[in-house]
Amino acid sequence: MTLLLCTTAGAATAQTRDGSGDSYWGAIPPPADSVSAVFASGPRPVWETVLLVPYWIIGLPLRLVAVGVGEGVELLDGSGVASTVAGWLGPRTGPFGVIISARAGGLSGVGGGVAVEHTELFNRPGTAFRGRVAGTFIGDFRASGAVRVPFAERSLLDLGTGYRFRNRVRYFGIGPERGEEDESLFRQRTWWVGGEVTGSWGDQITTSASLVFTSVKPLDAPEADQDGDDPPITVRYADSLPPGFGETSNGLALGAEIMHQDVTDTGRPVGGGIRRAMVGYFRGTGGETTQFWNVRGELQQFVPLWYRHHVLALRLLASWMQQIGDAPIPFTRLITNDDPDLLRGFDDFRWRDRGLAVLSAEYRWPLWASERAEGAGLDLYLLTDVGQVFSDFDDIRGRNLTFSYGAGLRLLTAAGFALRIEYARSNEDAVFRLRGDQIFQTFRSALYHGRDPNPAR
Amino acid sequence: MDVTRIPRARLVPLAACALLVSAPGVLHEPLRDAPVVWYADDMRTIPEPAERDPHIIRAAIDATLFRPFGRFFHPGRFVRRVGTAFGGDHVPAAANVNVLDEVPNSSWFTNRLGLFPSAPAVAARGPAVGEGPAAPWTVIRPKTVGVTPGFNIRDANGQVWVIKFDVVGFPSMATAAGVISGRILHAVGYNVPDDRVVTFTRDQLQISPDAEIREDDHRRPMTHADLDELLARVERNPDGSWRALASRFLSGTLVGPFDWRGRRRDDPNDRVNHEDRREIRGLAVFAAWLCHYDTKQGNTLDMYVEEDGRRFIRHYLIDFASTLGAGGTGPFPAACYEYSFDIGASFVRALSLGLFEDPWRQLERPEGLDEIGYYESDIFHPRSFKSLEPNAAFANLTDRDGYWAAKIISAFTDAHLEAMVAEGRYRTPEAARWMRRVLAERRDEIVRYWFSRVPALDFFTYHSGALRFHDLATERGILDAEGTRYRVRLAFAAPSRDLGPSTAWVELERPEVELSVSTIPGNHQPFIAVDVQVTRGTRWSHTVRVFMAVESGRVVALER
Repeated sequence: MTLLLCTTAGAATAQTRDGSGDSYWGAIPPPADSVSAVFASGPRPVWETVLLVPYWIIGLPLRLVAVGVGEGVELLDGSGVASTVAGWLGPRTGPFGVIISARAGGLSGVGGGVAVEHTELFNRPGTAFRGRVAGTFIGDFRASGAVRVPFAERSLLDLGTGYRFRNRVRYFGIGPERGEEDESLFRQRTWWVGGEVTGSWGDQITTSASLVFTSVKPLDAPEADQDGDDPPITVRYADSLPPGFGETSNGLALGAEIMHQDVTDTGRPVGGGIRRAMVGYFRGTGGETTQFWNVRGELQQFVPLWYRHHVLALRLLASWMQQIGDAPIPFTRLITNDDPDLLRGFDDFRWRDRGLAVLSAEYRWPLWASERAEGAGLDLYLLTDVGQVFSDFDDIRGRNLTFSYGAGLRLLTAAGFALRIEYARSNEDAVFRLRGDQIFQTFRSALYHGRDPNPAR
Repeated sequence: MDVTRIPRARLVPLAACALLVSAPGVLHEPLRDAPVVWYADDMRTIPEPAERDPHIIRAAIDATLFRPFGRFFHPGRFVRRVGTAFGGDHVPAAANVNVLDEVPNSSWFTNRLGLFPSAPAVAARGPAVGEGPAAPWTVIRPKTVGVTPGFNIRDANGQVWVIKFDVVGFPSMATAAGVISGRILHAVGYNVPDDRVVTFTRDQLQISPDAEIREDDHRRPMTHADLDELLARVERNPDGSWRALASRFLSGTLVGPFDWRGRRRDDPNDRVNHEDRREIRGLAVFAAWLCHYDTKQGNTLDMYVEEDGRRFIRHYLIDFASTLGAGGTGPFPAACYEYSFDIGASFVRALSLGLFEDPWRQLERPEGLDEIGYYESDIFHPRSFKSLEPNAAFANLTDRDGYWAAKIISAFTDAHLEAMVAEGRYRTPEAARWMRRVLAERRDEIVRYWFSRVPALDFFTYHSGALRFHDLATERGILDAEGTRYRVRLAFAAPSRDLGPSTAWVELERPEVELSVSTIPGNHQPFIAVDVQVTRGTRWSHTVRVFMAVESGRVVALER
């Protein structure tokens, strides 16, 4: 028997506003109780409810965290704190800016700081002031202030002063062959005042000359560390304290530098580099007879790799101090592996001597980008450092060279580099660092930015 | 897999999982010989709800971190995910579909092009009623903050419109995208505002005495200088006029955005969890088509309206400026390919040591077309779409939901797309051509993908002793009809959907079945189950099962 059924097709009408009409399924009638129903989510199956009991219990802390985070966000935003801080941290829209910095790891420990800058003092564009204060929980402290005055055409005069106290400086002895077991502690107080003139020659070449008075005083480690694993310098080296310990080294440093730079992006540079050559002369003051020359050469190159923003960053630097006369160079002025001349994977100050040669390489690639590939985001990098201090060129040989490797994250903002978190290992140690600076593309104009005015940098 | 070779001890947990997981999916309602439900009863009068005002950053953190974390560790989802190996879905089926697996009309959705043939010009008109804003325009509220300024106006007819501009440097991009996507989503069935591209000159603007501008901590009356300054910050046409998107204020009382998850507790009509609404899940497919990546809560809107004497909430999608490769802050290539904070993608990049590059990083905007952003079909894949924030409803998309959406997309002909794109009023015909081409190519990709996962046999109707159906894949030009064959088998079905013995499979020349109950073995039952499969030359598809009432001839249920 063939089914003889009524057809479901209604009259062909256009769709009406109420959703009825002649559809591909046939006629859809106007709304009526017979073609309407309440839809509702069904109950959860019993098996799922049973499984969810432990999920709810275990997940309770997370939900509380979520609520806490949410309430915190609303509170910060509602009170205006978030927008105020965001205004400080965001791209500068006016001449005044605030830069928050943080650090962790290394010898200085956990800390942070704040820098303020005004780039239109007295309503003169380019006339600037920069002040910076930072500290760490182990007692390191630094403060600096500088003004910048443009003059002539493309020339700047920086005048600055600063103070830095470091609570846990290391001394292992002098030379590349000192072992870990030679470690000792001391404290160091530094202050400086001086000026620097910088001139630009075209877009890529700058020259500068500086005259800075510096005062460096090493102090014994605090009593609290006398019985620690790392003895104070006066205990470890009681019979052979390094030259200059216990004395304040005062002196004037005269420096000149020429730099060629064809890279400006500090975030994700994809080519170009920096070439620097510097020569300095130091002469002790106030009865100190120390004199020395120092020279330094540095090459940085960013090599684009197979993909955009995948870069090999290379940095080669060599620095040398040449003593003049009989007065030894105070050990606090010798070259050491401290910021930014790190041998990552080793503690700061692990080596000291009159010379330093370092090759650093970073292979960088993008990890995350907020919207735009060039914008704020995170880059991941693998790193390696090879190098050593030396007092004689013969010291630069295979068995003396140190090797370290590691990986890190670079936090980038629309304005450029902001922060790095890195972990490096060597045959001696593993060092974690969180820093607001980088060993590549360090700021020139050390006085203005409040960096230690070591003449070798 | 040969089940007989699996040790019995292993079969037990597998079978348990399968039973657990598939159970919610196969619990169909008993068959009833009754009219198909085409309307959700969700427009009853309710008291006016309070305005929802979710904090935008908190909602983003929640959507990006906590909710995905919760989903990842949700035991129900995990068990169901295991169950997908046995044919189940990773989530319960959508809760607001009728017996034909369609979405009934509701305060959320009205079936349009997907179910009703419509002329391109009609479909492209969208929600537009009458003409655009009539001059003169009175500026009643400026928007001076944000990347792109704008203002609200009251036109000569008393209608209030929001006026938005393109981002400087990207002429026509966001305004065209906003209008085109709005019209497309309206044709799909969503509630959207009446958005239009408008052009105006300075002399047709006047300022309301009540318009105020915020300055530091206080407000002051807006001046013509303020307006000039605002207009100086936006793209201007070569003839000195301005191009903008005018969006008509929605009628009713604004009660805030809707959440992509859960229900609105102060709305008794809102009884289906939003993540279980098919049209909300399926929006993932439309969003992929249009590269509609900014699907945050803030781009939805609930309006408390009065219609036909009833007062209820109507649910809208709004603001489509961040679609079709455009962006509220300018175009960027990662849009639609990564969440704004994409832990998974970052993890893969970390593990790859940079030896792999995401295809989106190689995207370039079309040369010479400054009105077009990053909208392409070369690396597009229907499942690769990601909105800026993970979306709880999109995460629940099942194959059936995806098929439903793809079916609607397949109803958009090239002529429809041409008409929609024309509403965007690109300045150059090349830009319009580009947009039409990419929309069509992405449409085809999406439809091809979903039709390969669910057989596109649909719209079963009974006429004169024959059950006819549509093979949408061939009818709509997605697949070649050559080599396509169908087969069918029949069985009696009880109201419980229990089947009697089936006939053998019978191949069909056309998508049409001559029904004869005399050929069906077993005891007579009030319903017939018609199993249909299709092959494109390789193997037979999954079965689409249609239930018909013997008495009335109605198609009373459909299973995919």
